[in-house]
Amino acid sequence: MRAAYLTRRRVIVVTAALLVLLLASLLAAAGIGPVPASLWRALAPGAAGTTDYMIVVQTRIPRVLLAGVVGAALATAGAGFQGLLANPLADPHVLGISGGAAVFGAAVLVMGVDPVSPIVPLVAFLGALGAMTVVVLVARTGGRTTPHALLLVGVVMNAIAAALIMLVNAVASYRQAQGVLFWMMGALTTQDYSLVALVGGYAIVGAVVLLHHAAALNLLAAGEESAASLGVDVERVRRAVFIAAALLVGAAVSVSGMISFVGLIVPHVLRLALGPDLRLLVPASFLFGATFLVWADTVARTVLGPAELPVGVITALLGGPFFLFLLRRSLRGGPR
Amino acid sequence: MTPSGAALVVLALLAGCDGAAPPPRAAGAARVVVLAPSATETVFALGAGDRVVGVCAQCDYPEATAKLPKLGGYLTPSVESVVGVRPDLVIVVPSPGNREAVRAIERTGVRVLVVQDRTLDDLFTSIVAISEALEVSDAGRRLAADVRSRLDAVRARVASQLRARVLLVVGHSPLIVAGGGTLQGELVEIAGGTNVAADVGNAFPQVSLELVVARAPDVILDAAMGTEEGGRALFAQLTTVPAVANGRIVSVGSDVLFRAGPRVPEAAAALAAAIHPG
Amino acid sequence: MSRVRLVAERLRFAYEGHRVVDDIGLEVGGGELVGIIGPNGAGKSTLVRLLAGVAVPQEGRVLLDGEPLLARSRRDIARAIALLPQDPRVEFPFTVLEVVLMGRAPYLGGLGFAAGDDVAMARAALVRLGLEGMEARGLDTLSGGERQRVFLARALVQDPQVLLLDEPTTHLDLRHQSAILDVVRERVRRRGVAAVAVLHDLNLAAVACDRLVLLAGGRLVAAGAAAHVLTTERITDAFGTEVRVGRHDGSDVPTVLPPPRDA
Repeated sequence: MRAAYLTRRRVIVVTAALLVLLLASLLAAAGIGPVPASLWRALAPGAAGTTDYMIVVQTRIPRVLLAGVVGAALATAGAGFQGLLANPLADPHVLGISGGAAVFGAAVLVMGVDPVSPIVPLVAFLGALGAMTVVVLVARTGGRTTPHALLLVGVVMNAIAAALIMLVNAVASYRQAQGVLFWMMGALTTQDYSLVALVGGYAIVGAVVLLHHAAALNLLAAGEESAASLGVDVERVRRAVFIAAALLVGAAVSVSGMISFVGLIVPHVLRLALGPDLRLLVPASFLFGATFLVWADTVARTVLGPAELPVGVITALLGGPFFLFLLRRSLRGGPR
Repeated sequence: MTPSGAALVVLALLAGCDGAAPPPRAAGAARVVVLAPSATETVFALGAGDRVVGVCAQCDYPEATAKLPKLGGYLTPSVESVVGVRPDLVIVVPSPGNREAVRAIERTGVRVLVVQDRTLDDLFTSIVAISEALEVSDAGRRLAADVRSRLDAVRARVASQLRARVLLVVGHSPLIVAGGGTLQGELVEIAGGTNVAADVGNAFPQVSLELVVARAPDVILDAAMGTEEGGRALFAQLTTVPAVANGRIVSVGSDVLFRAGPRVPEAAAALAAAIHPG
Repeated sequence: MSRVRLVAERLRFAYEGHRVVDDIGLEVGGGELVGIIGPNGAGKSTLVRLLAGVAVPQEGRVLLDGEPLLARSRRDIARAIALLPQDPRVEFPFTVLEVVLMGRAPYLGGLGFAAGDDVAMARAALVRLGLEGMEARGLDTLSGGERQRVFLARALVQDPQVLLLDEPTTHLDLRHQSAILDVVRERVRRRGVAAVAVLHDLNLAAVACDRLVLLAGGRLVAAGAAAHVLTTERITDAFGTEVRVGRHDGSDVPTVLPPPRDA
């Protein structure tokens, strides 16, 4: 049974432990791949120009780091959305942001831009921003943005996005449509350290914003009236949390396509283990989300031998059945 | 024809397409619908182009097809349109998307000829099957012989050169390459290259960049959608790979490369020119 | 009663065209417990929410110590006024102690971590409400009555000058109903807190409260001592049902009951 209340000390201890776990995972993952390559030889002085160096430093490390920051962004956004929607089974993709990113990304790919070009994530991110703006504006009625409204508008946005993507695919050539499908399924191919740094910095900013509102979100768990009577500006907090989490999801999807279940499973599992207090859940989701996706991607890279699976397949295979299990447990009114 | 491999990396496992059935003998087909670009080229190359009354939207060669009615996409043919032109023979290449449409067409009593398009063998088999269905078997034999001899010519041209290690890229991000057992892989071999991804299971597997480093191809053929710059940027940092170090990343046009039709020797020649320039 | 703390002036609140609170004014002073009674839909909960500053009236205003309530920052309001909402629940499995500590939020800065004093206050409140030993239990494992008491503890640790309770006794058995109101009255007496409680049970209201306010159809129908408010005519009018008003144990305090079965 966990402690009766959350202390600063516990947050520090758990965060430090998860950080160590993440660093160890990054190191291990950099040493694992379909091709044997030695981490130590690659990092030894004077190794530049050897294949070990090429493999580890130029292909594996950027990829592993990207998996980490994308996982961190998705899981943190998930924690934020679950708190915002007061629903432990909320998934960040459900709010329409990912759909917006996907539509714009798909459109730009079909227009002939190379999937490796930085234009793709940029435009996709604009799509995410657009979708987010629409959701925020449409869901706000009578000066209030309720979770219910956000959810409904988000579902509709996703439906519209799905239809638009089908349209894009229909007018595209066959191979272009295939390209779009693969991009959407999730790709962590990168050698670009600057892209990783950009998304990473972004994820940290988003996490900090969410952490800033974590105490208020905790209070919101007792209802709008309780929170308001305890001094929370409910509308402002809801909007800030939604925007921060939406931007996190937008950034992740723009860079790596739709990787499902990370944003749902990681915060949910952490909540079961660590309790619902978001002041711990936000940093924990950040660190464990990174670890989770690093390992999922490592599996995706190695399980089929020299070929690899899209990482979204692994997270779906892991996450899907687990989600069903959680759903059953929750429907049975089991312990939370 | 089909970039089927790229399409079916994931879907192929689920699809389990039907094999080609031997065509029933019947009176010469006078009204022919062809629902695949590769088969269309074969029909015209057999001299039977005047019998074609409708093609798929992607069937764009030869020029005569421009005047023909388009009856839906290669993957999604329009059953109504097909039946509407009253064909007595419909030639299709199977794909997960068109299975229902094909069954529907069969149910209307129209003869359907199914041909495959994955490998060179498929190409020759389909030439035979189509020529028999159209009762132009002689033309079929001549066409097959012609294709074979042109392929042999390409082989001969590069016979004296050292085989180059070649990677054929069909997608940038994620990185997808042509594996063994694909038409494209076969063409690489004919063009004087060794496909370094021949053993990487599956028709068009997704691979990591580290595999490219490990396999160290001499030439990277870029047949992906997207741009040349994209292809170069993708591999730019991998300086231990000979293809990168020596600037041997070559864009190859993908239209003919992904059609198992009679123009396959042109694709082979283009690959040969890319692999062994000069 | 010591000085007036909370004043409502001509409050009006409409929801979707329907006047829920219609021109209501009242005053509550420190050291008194005011009971708000009335039939369902009379606007009692809305009135309490307006008094708490959680809802904004379309007309009229609420004054706290002579100043307009809504001119203050939310945190200031939270330090002065505590609200125990109707049927409170928590979506996630926070522990009892965590929920009570939420009441200290208006006083905590930064990420809102509680200090030793805050925890001590929370624990003392749990003891006062008979919940000691339950601090580490998940709120979702408690009964309705126990939950109610946890939320009252939360309101108490807010250290408010005004205590607003929306149907605080609904899920409680007789013993705990009395106990809760005892705790409230103790606060009222000892610390001069101004308290307002919406009560369903007219007799409990008559016994526990210093004054009563009767609402019906969004309007204030009567206010004053229980004996003044709880008359047969008034109750029958407001609640739309026949009642018999008697006297409690020979005192001035009225009792209200439906007519005897075989009358």
